[in-house]
Amino acid sequence: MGSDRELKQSSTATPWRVLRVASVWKQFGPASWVLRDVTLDFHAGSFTCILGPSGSGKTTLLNLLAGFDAPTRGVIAVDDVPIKGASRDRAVIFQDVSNALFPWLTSVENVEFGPRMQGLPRRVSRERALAHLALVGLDKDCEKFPYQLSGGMKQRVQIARALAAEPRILLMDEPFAALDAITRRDLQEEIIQVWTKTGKTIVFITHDLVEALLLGTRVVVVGADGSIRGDFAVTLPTVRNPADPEFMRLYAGLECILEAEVRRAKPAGGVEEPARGHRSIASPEVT
Amino acid sequence: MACWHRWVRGVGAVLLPLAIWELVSRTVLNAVLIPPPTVVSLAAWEMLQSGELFVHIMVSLRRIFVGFALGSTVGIAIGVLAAWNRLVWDLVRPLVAVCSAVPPVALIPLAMTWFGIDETARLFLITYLAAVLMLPNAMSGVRNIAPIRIRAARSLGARSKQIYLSVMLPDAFPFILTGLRVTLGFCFMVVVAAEMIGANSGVGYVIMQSRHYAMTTKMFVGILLLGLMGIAFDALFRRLLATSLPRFAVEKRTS
Repeated sequence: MGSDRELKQSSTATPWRVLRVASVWKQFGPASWVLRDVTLDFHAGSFTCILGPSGSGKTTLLNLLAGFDAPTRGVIAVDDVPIKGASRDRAVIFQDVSNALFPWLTSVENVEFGPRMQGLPRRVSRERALAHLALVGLDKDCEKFPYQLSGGMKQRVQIARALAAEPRILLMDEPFAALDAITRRDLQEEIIQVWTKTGKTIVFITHDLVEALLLGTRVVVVGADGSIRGDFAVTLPTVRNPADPEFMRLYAGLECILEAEVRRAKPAGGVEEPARGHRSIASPEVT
Repeated sequence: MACWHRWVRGVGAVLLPLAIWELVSRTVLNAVLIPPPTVVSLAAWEMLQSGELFVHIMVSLRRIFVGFALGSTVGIAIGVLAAWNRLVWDLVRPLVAVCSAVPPVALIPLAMTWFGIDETARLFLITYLAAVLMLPNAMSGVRNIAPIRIRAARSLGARSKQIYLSVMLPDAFPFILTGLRVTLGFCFMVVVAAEMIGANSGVGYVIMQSRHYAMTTKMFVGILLLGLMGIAFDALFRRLLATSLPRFAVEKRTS
């Protein structure tokens, strides 16, 4: 734990750019741009929440980061090497609770899938899988099949499965959106713990402003037109309190931007290409 | 109480039609053309005791299962290959389309011409039917798996071949099993057609042979026997699905 913290501190001193998104545009069909000129750097050990109204292209961005889809223009690079499709260095945790796990495998078999595919011996894979199940508090349920697990447990298995593949980056696509409020709160705490223990670089998609502020060290707002509307460093402690004045200040600021975006999203077809360089309506980027 | 009611209703649903049949065939209808169930079951009992019926059942079952096993293996192999490789699919698609449109009974004379009036012709027919039914089934089973799981596998480091063997095949498994169940049902139907022509044993033969001697009772025995056999094997198959593969039975395809 202590060494993890040191690692993170050193990484903030000389931030290593693990994942880079350079002028990425994505088009689905003629004249429908889902992402416009997105440029973002993700530093090692950072926890970035990508926030935006529905239909703003958040999930499209995640699919591009994962390599499930290719950008129309622009480059995505891991450690400065442009990505070619999906790879084990970017594990994804999906929102779809009921379909993301392999239903014919037990929890532990699901988790050891990554190590097995990477050619590790059975015993080593099993040990690694059990260690990661223990990390998310599911060591007692390792022989259960997905249909025997609750939604929250399934998402824990997904997190363990992603971690066991030992990725550089964890991509999370609204992973808790389909869960009930209490389970969601549990898993938010869980993911913070996983992050502090492992020091992984996390990119977390959400449409929930409170969730973004509870989790991220940085919050990026994607606008209704698919461009970046704001980029904030969150300088709150790891364990956060929504009643904290700083939390509320950030909340109020982001709320304004989000509401403007939701309103912009409403008139159908009214989304016009914004003038370049006009993209920070947000207060000057705090970094 | 409710359980008891259901039981009575279930038994009633079997006994009532039998009772009406018995009554009607003994009073209004010609009992020689439509023998009453008591006469039919007596005949069945005699045939069972002489061992005659048992032989015919075993012969028919052997045909069904040999053809079914051969045909579904071929069908699944090609279907799975077609789901994987676009070229294979493009090549077999027109053939499959034509084959599934032609009723297999139409091929009986052809099969007899090719293989002679013997076992090979009948096995060919059942094998062919099973293959034609299973091919598109296996193919769509592999094709229609949840894409999210393939994505998950890819981001966990699986290569194409591994995805195929470790994700797509097990994912298609429940779909293929359901296809096998339907195919087995069709095999039961076609074996009778095959046995009606040129066979000298089997349940279909019993029915056809009895016609020559106008033994309607024996014909009824054969027909009812086929129905019972079909029900029994379908129930057995369903049991197999539910007990040995619970992991596939629940929550499989919600997307």
